[in-house]
Amino acid sequence: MDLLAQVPQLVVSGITLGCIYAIVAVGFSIIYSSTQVINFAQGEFVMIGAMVAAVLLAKTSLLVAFPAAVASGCLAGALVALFVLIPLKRASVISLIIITIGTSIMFRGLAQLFWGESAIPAPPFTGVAVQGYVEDREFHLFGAYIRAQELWVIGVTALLVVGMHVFFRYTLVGQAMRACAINQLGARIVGINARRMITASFIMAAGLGAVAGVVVSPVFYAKCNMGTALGLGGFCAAVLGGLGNFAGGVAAGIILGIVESLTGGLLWSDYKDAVAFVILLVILLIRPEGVLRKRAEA
Amino acid sequence: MLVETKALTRRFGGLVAVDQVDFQVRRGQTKALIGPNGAGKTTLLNLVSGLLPASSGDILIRGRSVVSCGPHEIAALGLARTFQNVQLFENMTVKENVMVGCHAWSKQGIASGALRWIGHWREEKLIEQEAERQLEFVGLSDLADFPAHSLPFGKQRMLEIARALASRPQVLLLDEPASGLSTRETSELAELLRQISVRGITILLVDHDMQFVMDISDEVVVLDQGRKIAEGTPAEIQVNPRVIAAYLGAEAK
Amino acid sequence: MDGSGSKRIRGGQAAPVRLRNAQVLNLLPFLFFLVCYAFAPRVVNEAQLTTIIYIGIYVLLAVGLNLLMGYAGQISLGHAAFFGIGAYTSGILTAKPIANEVIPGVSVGFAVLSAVALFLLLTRVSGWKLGVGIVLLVLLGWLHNLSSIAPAICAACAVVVMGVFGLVAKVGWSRACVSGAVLAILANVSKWFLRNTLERGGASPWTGLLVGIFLTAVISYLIGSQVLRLRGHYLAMATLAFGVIVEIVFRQWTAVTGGSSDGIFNIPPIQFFSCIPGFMRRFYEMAAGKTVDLRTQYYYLVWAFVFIAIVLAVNIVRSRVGRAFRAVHSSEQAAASLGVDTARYKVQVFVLSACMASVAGTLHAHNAGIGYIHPSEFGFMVSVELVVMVVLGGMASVWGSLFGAAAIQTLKDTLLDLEKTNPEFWGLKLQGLDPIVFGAVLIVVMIVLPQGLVRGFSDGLSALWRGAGRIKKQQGVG
Ligand SMILES: Nc1ncnc2c1ncn2[C@@H]1O[C@H](COP(=O)(O)OP(=O)(O)OP(=O)(O)O)[C@@H](O)[C@H]1O
Ligand SMILES: [Mg+2]
Repeated sequence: MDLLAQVPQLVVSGITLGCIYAIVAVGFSIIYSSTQVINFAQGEFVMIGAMVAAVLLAKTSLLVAFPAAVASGCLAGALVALFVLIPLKRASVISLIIITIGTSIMFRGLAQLFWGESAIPAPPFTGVAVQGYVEDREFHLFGAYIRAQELWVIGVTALLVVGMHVFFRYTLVGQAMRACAINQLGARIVGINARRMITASFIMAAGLGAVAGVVVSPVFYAKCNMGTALGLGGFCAAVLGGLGNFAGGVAAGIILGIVESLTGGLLWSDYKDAVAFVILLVILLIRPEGVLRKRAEA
Repeated sequence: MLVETKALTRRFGGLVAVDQVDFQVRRGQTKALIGPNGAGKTTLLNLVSGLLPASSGDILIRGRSVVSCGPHEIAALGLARTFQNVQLFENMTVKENVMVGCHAWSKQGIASGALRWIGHWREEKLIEQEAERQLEFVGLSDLADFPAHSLPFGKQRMLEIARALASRPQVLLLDEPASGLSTRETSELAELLRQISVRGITILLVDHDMQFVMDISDEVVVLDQGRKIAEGTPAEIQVNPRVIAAYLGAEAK
Repeated sequence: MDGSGSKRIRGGQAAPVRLRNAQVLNLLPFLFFLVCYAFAPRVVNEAQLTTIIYIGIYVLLAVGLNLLMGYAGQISLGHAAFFGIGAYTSGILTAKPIANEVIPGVSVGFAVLSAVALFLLLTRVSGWKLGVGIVLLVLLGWLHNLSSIAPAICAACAVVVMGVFGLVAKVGWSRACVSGAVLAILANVSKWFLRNTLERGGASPWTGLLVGIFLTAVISYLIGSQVLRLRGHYLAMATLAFGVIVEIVFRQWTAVTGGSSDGIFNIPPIQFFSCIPGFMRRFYEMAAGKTVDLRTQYYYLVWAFVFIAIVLAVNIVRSRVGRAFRAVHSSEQAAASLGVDTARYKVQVFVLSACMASVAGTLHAHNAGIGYIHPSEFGFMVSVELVVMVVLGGMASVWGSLFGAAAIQTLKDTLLDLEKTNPEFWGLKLQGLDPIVFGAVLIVVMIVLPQGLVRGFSDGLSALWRGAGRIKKQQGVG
């Protein structure tokens, strides 16, 4: 019964992780639906956000660190779009994969070069200073301790998801991006600049990832190789929810986070790092077209 | 009957691309499949050649049901095809393209190729001869060693036909072989198809060039919105009111 | 018409070289290779020889991956896993035999994997039938671990249950029976084999090599037959996930693999010279021009494997099956419509390249004077490195892979040396340079020279040459 008592706590940390997966999944979907590219560097945007935030939070306040981290994430996204994807015309899927992997390991290497290999702790956003270091507030709820930072993660995710929804539904740019996704040629004919849309989608996906990185850096610590696992988890969520389907991706991300945390905590603690990958593999083999999306064909 | 479909149906979501189609191709004949754009002709060929699974209905080749067979198994039964948007192996030479066509009747496996057993040499020679013969037949012998993507469009179509012939098919499906060809090339193609037919190979062809179709085919099937609306000799089809209506309707749209 | 045709044709003269000449020309690179192979130890020093051994191991990997990626067009981002399986199997069997309490579990696991692979191979089922078959085989395997039941009863159970399942699911009762029987046989044989190995304190490296190849073939068949139905990004992600899972198993399965803190050490080297006939030994000694030490022997062994692999790869590429691989790469639909069983060939090339990686892994584990393996040598970054080698050398170019592997390995060494000197650059300590450099190489090569350095250079040179010729001609006319 000792195990069962852990369940609420595991669910809480699962939701936190799942929120990050959800945001990464939305990033995958944004880029995929405007360019048909799966960006293997997606997880690295989270890493960049987390690293910049962790480094800056140690010196300055959140008000500086947050925008700076998000800006550097966006910059990374813009660089990828401008220097890597756009020069590449008529690329095969295999070369797109190779190129985005190239950018991914390059970002990781650069992060390691600048900030070293070890994990960097970041102080929580709303903590209380105790003897020189900042301790997070904790709430007790349904037998689980919830840290204030975890509430931040959940809140920011909710805000981002609503924001994305509003953006794609009700703004002109968002609608243009959707048009581009549905039919590039058609979009070009009505005067939408596809190249600008590609750049925009990369910046947006990268910015989202970076926000996720900033809010989790106090929870997970920032590490230069954190991107791969988060990126794959996010991809798994995006596939589960159906690529291009934002709501599906978000739901799948949170479910995935909870499942991963529960299986890792209760069943296979030795292999908890492998859980997300096993789920990804199983999903890909059973239903590559997504579980949360209705089957297109009977 | 060489090829026969029974109530063959294929849906894409809500769209019924091929709707309850029954038709037969007799051994030795040249049969044409026509219809306005989007009528479902390519889909029908894809179904028959096994590239698309059918939603319902049955396909028989030489009396054998092949609805659950993969495309390579259907090819092994003696069916070869070309594609509407030419699908050559661009990273290979012209001759190698045709040599892949010999895959259906050759046997040597990976170990034999890797270790160069005697069977490999013997068979490789046969394959090469067959490839050269087919290239000669379509008139591409002198371009055999060039990369396939460097050929001009008309010759790419010829190469695709040579490749299909190399599989020694009993029935050859051609999806719009004349589209994109000049008038002269089209008449050369018609001549070529006649020769193929003389060799005893059955042809099922799709095309929009009416003169070309009426010229070479023994029988014509007309498809409209997935349904078969007429079947008969070219002369009958040309005066069939439903066919005329379908084409006019398509043009009026 | 013809004029417009030949204008579009590139690649210079395709004058039909007479066949005999062409074949002699094709043999030339091999002869050159053999000469270099035999005499290299005369000209290089100890440290360089070590590097060359590593290069050889990576050439094996790159050639195998190139068959899969460059020729058949199927990406794998988890190839280091097979490298690791080969290395660990051989390392474990020779240096750290499986402990008595884990033997039953390991042997049954191995038997279940093989039986499932066989079941798949024989019946080619998918969906729920496959699922039920796997569950049954796992349960039957588990039965073998209950010491209270006699092996013969277990075996009978396995055969009968599988036979009934085969009848009920209509997948062929005899085939299902065979997989049940193989399960029982393998479970007992491998139990006996592992006990025996433990008693003798380790198996011979050659046994390790063979068992490694077998295990890799089984696992790669299982994974490949499922994963290769996926395309493009999905395939990449699935292979990546597989690779990471295997690496995590290497790290966490401490009872067998030694985990990530220890790894496996003291793996014995392969005594190449004691396995070959005397005249070959004398030939090697003559070529090396000195008494051949263990390192040089190992060099000869590794590069003999490289030579064999290159010969096999070149032969396969220029054969019926090789053409089918390339056809699958170009257009799966067209290939299938010509009778190419695309699914089967994709799995074949996957298993083949996995087995080559496994051989490379065994050679890596037994490397003379090192004999140490660690999970980090088989991680995601290594898989990416392999992709870099293939891309740099040129996809669909066997000799290019040799060049790519050599270039990347040399580059890695150079970077490592650089990092050892602790250079500072604008106050930054330079570290972890290889991901940056490799990432840059991938991006630049893909954008600038997508056909790889070797082909790219030769194309560039021939363009230059033709350009020069044209200028000369114009001058002559003018
Ligand atoms: N893979 C697919 N997914 C969804 N719809 C499809 C698919 N393939 C074909 N269709 C639809 O099925 C219908 C029939 O298409 P098909 O290509 O068979 O027509 P066709 O007769 O060959 O036309 P054309 O003369 O233009 O080649 C079209 O409406 C097409 O949009
Ligand atoms: Mg069509």
